Amino acid sequence: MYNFSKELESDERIIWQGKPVPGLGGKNTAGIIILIIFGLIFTGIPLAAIIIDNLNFSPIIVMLLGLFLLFLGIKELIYQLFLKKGAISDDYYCITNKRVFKYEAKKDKLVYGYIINYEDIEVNNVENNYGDLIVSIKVEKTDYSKNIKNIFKYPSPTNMPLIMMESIQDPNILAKTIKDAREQLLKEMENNNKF
Amino acid sequence: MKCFKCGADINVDMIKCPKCGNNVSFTNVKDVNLMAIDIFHLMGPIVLFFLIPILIFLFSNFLIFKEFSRRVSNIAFWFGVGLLIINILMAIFNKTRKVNLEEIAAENMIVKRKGISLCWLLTSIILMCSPVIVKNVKVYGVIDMYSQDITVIKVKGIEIPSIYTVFGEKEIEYSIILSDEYDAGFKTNFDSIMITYKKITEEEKQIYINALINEYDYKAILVYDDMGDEIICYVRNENKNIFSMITIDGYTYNYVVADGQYEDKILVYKEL
Repeated sequence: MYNFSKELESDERIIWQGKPVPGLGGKNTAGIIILIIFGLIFTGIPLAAIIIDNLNFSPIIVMLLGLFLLFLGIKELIYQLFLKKGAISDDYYCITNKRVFKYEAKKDKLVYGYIINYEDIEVNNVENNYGDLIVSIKVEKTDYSKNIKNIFKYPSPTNMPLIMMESIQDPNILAKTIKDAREQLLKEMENNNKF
Repeated sequence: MKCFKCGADINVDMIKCPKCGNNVSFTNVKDVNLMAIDIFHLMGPIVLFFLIPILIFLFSNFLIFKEFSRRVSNIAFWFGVGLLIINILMAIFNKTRKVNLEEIAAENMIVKRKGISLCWLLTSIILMCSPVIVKNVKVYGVIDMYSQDITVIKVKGIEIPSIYTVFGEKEIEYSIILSDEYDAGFKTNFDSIMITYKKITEEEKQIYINALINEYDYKAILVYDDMGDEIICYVRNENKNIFSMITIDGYTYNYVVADGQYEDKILVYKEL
């Protein structure tokens, strides 16, 4: 386990720390199946039209859409079946009363973000009490005219806009923990501002 | 969104907290551009997404008007060239605002300059290729002698939705294929036209051929026998009289008139 204690501030304390258990949790199977089925339909029908030469419509756009969906589905399938275990097995996560940490041992990379800004807390792919937990900032539609893509494409490692914790135990409980910690922080800040 | 130090309200793209000066940026990279370039990059994917179906629609409905298509494709070509130049110039002369530079330097951030827009690049390439496509596409039409409707049924290599076709009717005995490489005839500039009709006599067939040659100024008329592979060609000489009949097979060929003069190649679409 990574020693997160050395990263803490004076008024910060660890609430939870752990690491992913690869192989447990859901595999987003429904999403993959839907992508592949629709990809096959949108690719297969135009292909059949070209081969049979009997159908009266221009299939190129539909086929491109189908190939794109198929690509997404196969990419996700390969990740879930073969790559996920290697990708997350050496990760470590930590939740404090102020921040969420993620340490990737393979890259020796520590990133963290502040709970007070994580308005979106999402739990996905839960199976047998193991699943994924995603915390992120909320981006309004009106913000898209600004440099929003840089925030997610080149996130600041000391103020992450999004942190994903995969295949962890009891993600629902941890989500509530983060939510409670955030509410507590907001109350404290409100009180501080009053004085 | 709040500053994690003092709790002041902040926006998602702020670098410093307005109250305590804390670094609250979610990224350590900043694109610095003029507003016009932001819109330019934003419009690229939208234009490309709509351009492809518009082009397919135009090709499928207006390619029968060859001259019109040629002019539109020429305009599209130069439009594409213009877009490419603008794209490159914007990448080269992408200026930064001084105010932001100072702010960014103070926060030790990396400045990224937006380069060429890939979507606009693809759009300009597609537009520049349109004259080549128009030039190489052959258009074949069907004329129903009963209803006088002209229908585009197939462009070489691309199936076009047709209003209706008369193929597959069991009563068709003969098909007359007209071939013309110039802007004469039916004003639709078909590369070749196939006329289908139900049972007619030889005399009626000759009347049609004469009418098509004399009234519509076609250089040659090829009669494709639906029962076999034989194609009979009626060739018109300079005096606009039917000169001779020769039998031709194959798709592309020269034909020789009786006095030894060679005519231009005629492209025949044998199977429809």
